[in-house]
Amino acid sequence: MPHPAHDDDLVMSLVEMALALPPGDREAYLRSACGGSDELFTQVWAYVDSEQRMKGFLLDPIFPRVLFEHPFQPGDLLEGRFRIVREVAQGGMGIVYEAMDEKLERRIALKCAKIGFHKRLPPEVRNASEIGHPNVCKIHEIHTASSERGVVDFLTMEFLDGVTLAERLVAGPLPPGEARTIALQLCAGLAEAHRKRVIHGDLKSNNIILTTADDGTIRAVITDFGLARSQEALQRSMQSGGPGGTPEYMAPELWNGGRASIASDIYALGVILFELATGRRPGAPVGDTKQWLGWKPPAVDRKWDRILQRCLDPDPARRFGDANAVAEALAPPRKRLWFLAAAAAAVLAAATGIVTYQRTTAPQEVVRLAVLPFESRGAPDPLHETMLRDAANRVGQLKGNSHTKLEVISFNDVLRKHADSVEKAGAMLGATYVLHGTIAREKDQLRIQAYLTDTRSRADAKEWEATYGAGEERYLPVALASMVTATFHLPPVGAVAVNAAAREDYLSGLAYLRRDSAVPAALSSFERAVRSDPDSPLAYAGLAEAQWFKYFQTKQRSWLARSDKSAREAQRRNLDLAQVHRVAGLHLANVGFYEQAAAEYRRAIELEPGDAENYRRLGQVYEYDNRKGEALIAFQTAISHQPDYYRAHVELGSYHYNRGDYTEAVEPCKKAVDLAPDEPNVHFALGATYLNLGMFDQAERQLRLAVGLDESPNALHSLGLTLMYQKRDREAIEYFSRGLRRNPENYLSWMYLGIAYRRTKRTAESVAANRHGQELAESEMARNPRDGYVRSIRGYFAAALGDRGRAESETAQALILAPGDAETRWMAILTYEALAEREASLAVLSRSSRPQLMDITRWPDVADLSQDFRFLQLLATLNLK
Amino acid sequence: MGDITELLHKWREGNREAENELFAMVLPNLQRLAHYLMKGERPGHSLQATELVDQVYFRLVAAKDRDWENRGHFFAIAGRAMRRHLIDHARGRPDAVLVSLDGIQNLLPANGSKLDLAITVDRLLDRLAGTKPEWCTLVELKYFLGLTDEETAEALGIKLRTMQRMWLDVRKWLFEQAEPYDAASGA
Repeated sequence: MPHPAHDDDLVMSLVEMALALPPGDREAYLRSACGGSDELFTQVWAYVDSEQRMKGFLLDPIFPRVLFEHPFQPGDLLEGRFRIVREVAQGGMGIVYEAMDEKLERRIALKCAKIGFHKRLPPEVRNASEIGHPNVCKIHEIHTASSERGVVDFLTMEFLDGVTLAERLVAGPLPPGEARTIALQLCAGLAEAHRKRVIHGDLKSNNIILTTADDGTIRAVITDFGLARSQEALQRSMQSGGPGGTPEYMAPELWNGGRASIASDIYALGVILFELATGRRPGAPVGDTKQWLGWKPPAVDRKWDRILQRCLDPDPARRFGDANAVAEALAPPRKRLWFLAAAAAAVLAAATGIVTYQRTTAPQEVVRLAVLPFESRGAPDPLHETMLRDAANRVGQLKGNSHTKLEVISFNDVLRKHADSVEKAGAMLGATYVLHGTIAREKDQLRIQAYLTDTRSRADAKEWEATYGAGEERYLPVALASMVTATFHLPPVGAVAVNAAAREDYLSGLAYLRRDSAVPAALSSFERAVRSDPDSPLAYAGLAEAQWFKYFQTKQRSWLARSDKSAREAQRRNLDLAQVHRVAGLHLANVGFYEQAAAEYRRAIELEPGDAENYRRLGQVYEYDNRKGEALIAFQTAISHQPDYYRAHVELGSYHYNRGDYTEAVEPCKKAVDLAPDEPNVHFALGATYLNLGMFDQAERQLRLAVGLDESPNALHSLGLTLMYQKRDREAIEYFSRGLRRNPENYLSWMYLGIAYRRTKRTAESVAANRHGQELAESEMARNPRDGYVRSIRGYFAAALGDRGRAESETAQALILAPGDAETRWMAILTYEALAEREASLAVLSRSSRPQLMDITRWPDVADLSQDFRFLQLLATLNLK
Repeated sequence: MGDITELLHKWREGNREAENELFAMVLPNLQRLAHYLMKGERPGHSLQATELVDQVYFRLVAAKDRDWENRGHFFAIAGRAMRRHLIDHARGRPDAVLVSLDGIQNLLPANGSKLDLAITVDRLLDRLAGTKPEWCTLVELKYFLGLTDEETAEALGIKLRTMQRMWLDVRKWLFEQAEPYDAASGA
């Protein structure tokens, strides 16, 4: 027992008590409280006395401590409609309120960002509001309110009365039956979200609410879909490159700078399933360290173990491909006998490589499929039943394969038992999947919506809609059957060739498609093929592809629209042909749906494993999605399949180029020049590479060759750029202008033209060029908000036109969206230099390669940066390595 | 990146090199924080120091090391870094590289003399460094980093009341030493 005067607890309690009293009462209180111990009194009084004299000296930290502010108070009325009732919860970034929607007189939850976090909601939330599933919290609306804090977005959502799974788990592990029920519901909700192209990004037991469904059963609801990204963005911009998310639910690839994906959501789901099974977390490594090597989750109950091992595999490629697959593995035990087939599937996968990795260890699945009568909208039509019967017959003829055993329930059985709903088909016929939908005749047209639904989770494995014109109904049976083959990776259905009349044109069209310069020839060949065989999905798919390339080369939206239309024509005839998937992949990737695009290409590879083009495109999508390792493998696979295909080499060159590894890029580009010397693109690629290596003479030679073969806007642009490096700005202006005459929408040319004008003191023209480019970049950004590069250019324009705030924010976001992209970094550096933010430039440079640093030293506008001693230090460090 | 546990260990044993390495890890983020604060953004919009340091900590330290002891040391490092950074800046040293001093004046609630106070405190702490290193750390955590009493006690690995008492002792000492400065500056 210490002496009272040395007892910190006692002394400080007395000090605190005394200071809480009016100054005049303090001494008397202490004399009495110290109970006659002079030493104690002396000590305590000395503290109280000095505190009085110091008048709060040093109590305020040098920077004011920011106290948490509550954005809203109970009783507040937002937008004249939402009355705040109480604060329900606070998360990492947001606050949830219970509120009343006084207009609709319903109880809602209202969520807004905490002060200090992003005030604006990320675009993903808009997609999230489209998810309608009982196991996903329904977002009603996104509102924007003006408040004294500026513009604040808030969400109104379904109000869920319950506890979070995390809270529930504190009370101990769940009974096995309940755990399984919750697990299946979470899988179903997540699968539906992924199908709607929404990644959760921060799945954890805190984001799961357990509530009671109307029928009294348990209902697990996933909340906060799409919200994680804004938080992630913030954290990353604050920490220059650290991961976002909640550490113990974060997949290893996120620690290494990867972006949230379906696979990382599956990992987080695995952590939650682990909690459901055991009541605790698997104890995975936290951090981007070597600890992940060989890490495996601890073994758990046999029923869960294999599933958890696969969800939690550090290698994203070895996890379940989607949440439905997890649900299937969790489904009643009789299903899991098919695990025995996994070994056979693995052997097959080894033989076919990249194609089947998703399904490597998946059990052979039994699909018991029922085709239901489609619900007729409008007048009943006997033709519909005939059509459906044809479709059911088509589906009935489909064959399974080594990973899927297909059993189709006869259409007559379906009709006889009146199994006219997903529920009934599951219960009465034992169907695991149901093909159903609606059909409506509107004048001459037949409008169809079809769904392939899992009867256990109620999730739609595939959804498709189309409108058939007069006389086109005959395509419907094959189209519906192809929906099934595509979903279950079955062998294709229907004719896989064009008719004899179209054959020659079709084949030459395919050959032309393989050369960039032959796109016009491909277009006319496929147009003829379509005329000769208008029933063929292949001819239309080829045409769609040629039109897409035309769009790609000219950037004229009208070609994109035409391509889209042709692609739909193809899909109406058959969804599941390699050619059709390839086109779908282009369209999906073009709007940022990379995961879905990759799935299209993977299916194309399954169907046509020998075609290098499939691998090349798959690699491109991986590259857009920052999955660099996978991209490289795909490009190398493309080359190994068809070593003479110049585009595969150009692509490999571009891959290195995009990383800033210009030296590495030279060889593949040279190889492409050897293979296709008449293709302007190969000279362009090699020229651009030389340009970045500072080899201006060689660059100019290659680019002039490219311009000579085809005066393409890109080649003219790069030639202009080469001249600008050499301070030949007047000549450069002429090439940019020529390029812009051919393609006025090239914002990049507007940008450099703006710089060239500025350097030649033509200020007004410079501003005009920047304004014009800014508008174009803005609309391009709206098309694909995930494109970091375009965003970085948008940031540059903002800086050039004096909008510092916008410049900083776009650039920060761009660096997050395209963390490995050298061009984006280059743009960020130009922007930061324009803003005189040297620190930020240097931070970007510290993540750049040596060639890129060298490139900086050559660009006339940033001479100041390349003279900075810190820049020189960076360069020196890189030289040492 | 060095092994942070090892660096912290070395730092505890007085290894200056380890300290520098740790600084290098923390500093960019503190600079960001200071940058935010100094730019005079409204306080409600800024991040808290603890949040930021926690983020850095999380990023650098693996799960097995996430015990209070190392976390505490990490905060201590952050406090030291913040002090150095701020003072370098306040004294207008050429290697201090943030925003202009005007920003700081605007930020500090009372007036410019607050900055003088910080310089004074820094100078006095230099005198304490040899004899009472724990007092220095305490001031760095409370005054330069702005931690709460609870956070500070946790970071130092001592009881809350013990920390509060020590804080009173330090402030009292600093106050007595600083009075002449205050009088001189007219505050």
